[in-house]
Amino acid sequence: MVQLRPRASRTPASASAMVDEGQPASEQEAEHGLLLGQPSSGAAAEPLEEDEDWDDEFDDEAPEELTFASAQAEAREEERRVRETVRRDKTLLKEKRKRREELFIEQKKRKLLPDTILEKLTTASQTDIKKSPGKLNKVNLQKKEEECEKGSDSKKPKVQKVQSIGQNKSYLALRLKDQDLRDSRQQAAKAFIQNSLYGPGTNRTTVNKFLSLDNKRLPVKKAAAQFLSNGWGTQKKQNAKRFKRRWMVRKMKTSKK
Amino acid sequence: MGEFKVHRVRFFNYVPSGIRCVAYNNQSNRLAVSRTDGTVEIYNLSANYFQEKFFPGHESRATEALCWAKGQRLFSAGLNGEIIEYDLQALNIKYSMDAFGGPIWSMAASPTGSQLLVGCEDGSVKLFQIIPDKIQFERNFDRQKSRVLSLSWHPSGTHIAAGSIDYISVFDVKSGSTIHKMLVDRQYMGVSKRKCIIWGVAFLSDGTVVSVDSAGKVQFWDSATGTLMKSHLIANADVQSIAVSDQEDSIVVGTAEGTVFHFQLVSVTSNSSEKQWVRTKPFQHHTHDVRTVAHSPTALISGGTDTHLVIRPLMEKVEVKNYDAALRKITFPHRRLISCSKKKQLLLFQFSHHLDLWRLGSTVATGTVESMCLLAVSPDGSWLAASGTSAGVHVYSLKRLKLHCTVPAYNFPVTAMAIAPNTNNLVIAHSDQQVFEYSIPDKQYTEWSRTVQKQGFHHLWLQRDTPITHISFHPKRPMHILLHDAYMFCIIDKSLPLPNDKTLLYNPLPPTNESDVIRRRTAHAFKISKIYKPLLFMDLLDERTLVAVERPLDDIIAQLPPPIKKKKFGT
Repeated sequence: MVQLRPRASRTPASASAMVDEGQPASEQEAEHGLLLGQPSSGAAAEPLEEDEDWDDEFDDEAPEELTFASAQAEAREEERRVRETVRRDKTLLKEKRKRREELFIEQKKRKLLPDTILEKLTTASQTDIKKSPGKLNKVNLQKKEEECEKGSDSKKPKVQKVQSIGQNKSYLALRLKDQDLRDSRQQAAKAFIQNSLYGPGTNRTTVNKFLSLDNKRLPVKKAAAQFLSNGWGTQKKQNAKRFKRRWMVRKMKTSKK
Repeated sequence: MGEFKVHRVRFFNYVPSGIRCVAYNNQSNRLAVSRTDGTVEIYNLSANYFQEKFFPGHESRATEALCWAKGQRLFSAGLNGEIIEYDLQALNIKYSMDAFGGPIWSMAASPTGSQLLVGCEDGSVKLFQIIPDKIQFERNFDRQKSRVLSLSWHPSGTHIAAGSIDYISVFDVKSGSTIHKMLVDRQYMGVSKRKCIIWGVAFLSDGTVVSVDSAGKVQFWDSATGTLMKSHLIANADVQSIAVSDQEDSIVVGTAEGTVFHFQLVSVTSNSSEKQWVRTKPFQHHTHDVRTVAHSPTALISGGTDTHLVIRPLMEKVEVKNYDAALRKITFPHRRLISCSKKKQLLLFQFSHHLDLWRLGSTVATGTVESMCLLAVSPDGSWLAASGTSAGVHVYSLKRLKLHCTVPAYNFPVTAMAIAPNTNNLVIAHSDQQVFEYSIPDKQYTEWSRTVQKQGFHHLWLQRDTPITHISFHPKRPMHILLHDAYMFCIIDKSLPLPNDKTLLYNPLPPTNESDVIRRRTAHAFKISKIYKPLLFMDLLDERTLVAVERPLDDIIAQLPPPIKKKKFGT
């Protein structure tokens, strides 16, 4: 393929360069006086027309000659460069992926219990294998969860599990999800009993009324057992207290003066 | 005796918590009582109903069921889903085991005492095996639709009755499957809207199941056919508890109105052999719900939200009609909850979760947690007397830090102890109202104590039903001992002659009204005053001042939960 000489840049710098050079440039300037007279924005705005104009000028001259060898060499260079970049990209990606994998593995390891405890548990489970054939083992092997509750999965070998947690019983592993479930059930139970004993439909009364029944039936009627209500008008009483304190302070000040 | 200025203290806001369950143990004649705040108390019924053991409680361990098993083992279960065994020797909790069924509503020990049955929130009934040192899960029975609120074993151990909401099921123990499902009528005061909760069931050996429910009915069912035989409507409120005697001829039930009913198996006519259950006696000793009852061979025991423990001996079962046959009502604690610092004029009140420190004349509050023990230190700091669950009071010498001597064991537990300031005599009061004086330096009982024992105490003194909770001394008068229980305080003057059974124990008249001669003749050592009651604590501050902490019952009742409405004509 014929390679044309790369065209001169048509930035405003070239225009100024030509202006600076003075006489030798003036020829070219004179030749494309129209073009150079145009403002620099014109150059950017209408490049196609300029190209054509440039091409027209240089079309008379023969293009530069390039030997096949040099062209081939250049082509090979290009290919090599492209291959290099591709390889580099590939290796970079590989590195990235590797690092990510390692990070994930480390995170997973951190989440699991330390090795010592895992050892203890697996050995303990092996001793109890007669009592609880399959389940305990499975639980121990599939320990990819965050924390394990010792008795959460199977119901039968409860007692063994509770006691098979290693020699030092200073801690107990619990699963937080189960604790929430337990609390909610306990709440439900308490609500049930509160509702059935003191809820709507029960025939309850206050202690005051209960104790005052006798007072009502006496020949000389007496007041209720708790006649005064302390919860009445608390806000008013508080305001009164505050006002009194402020009034006292003011009184002290004026009396001092 | 002299005249004293008295600080009357009524601001100690002590409110005991309601009783939730009682369990009676026949072999040892002991009663276990659990309260709503989780404390468990053990009363020794043969030692004059004295509270001998106490397990402080926690809100999370609130119990719903309590039972004794073989070998004097005590188990409790609560809404946190755990079964707890108590260690009665070490006075702590042996272990707690999760039953994995949600909150536990009921628990029953098998007649042999070797198996434990729990009824849970999710409707499952679980069977546990009791082995030495722990319990082991055995199996589940058929799962029910709603929570299992009450359980009862057949005396032979072959069948179980479980009360739930709106129905009762009968299970076969061997297979674990339901045999019958008996539906209970909901109707309550003419309305069928509210669900009928079966609060208690009892299985008799002839196959009768007795159930009590929230509609106020006591019903007798035949478990062989699964049908209702007899129904008694006894209250307008829930009937919350039931207990059967060992001979199965009497049943006691407690209602939410505070009434306790007694059912007895009587013959239809005087000659016939046919018997039927008849409601015989109502007892109204409570103001609030009676949540638990128990039946001992001679008495009916009931406890509920109004915090009293009432023991009513049955006349026909009691052989000797003496003071023991009267009603016992245990309201105030048998331990001392208050301590006094004499020099600084401070009072320390022990609540369940915190301590209050008050200065007489002003107030300061603090907070920590404390536990109880029975110790006495001598005022000069050289001796320490300690009484534990084993017999005998040990006296330790603090200067040499070793055991000095041991007071000989007595078969009734110690209720109060103190060491006199100058003479270093140890005064011990026991639950059967005996008072001993032991001289620590001489390592033997004092002369006065021997004379008292020889003559014996006045019969009225021995018939007091609350134990002596505090003993103190007058610094300037070594012959005086000041002691008090819930209803009286007494100053014993060792120099005066002892009263015998014929003299008046309580001197109502003040000394100035009588003539000298009569006074000298009737004066005796025990000077008793009943002015301040109910007394929680009384002590000598200095020579001229006493402090008395009272707790009127009305103040306690004012802080209890709401009771059932009672309709009275004209109000």
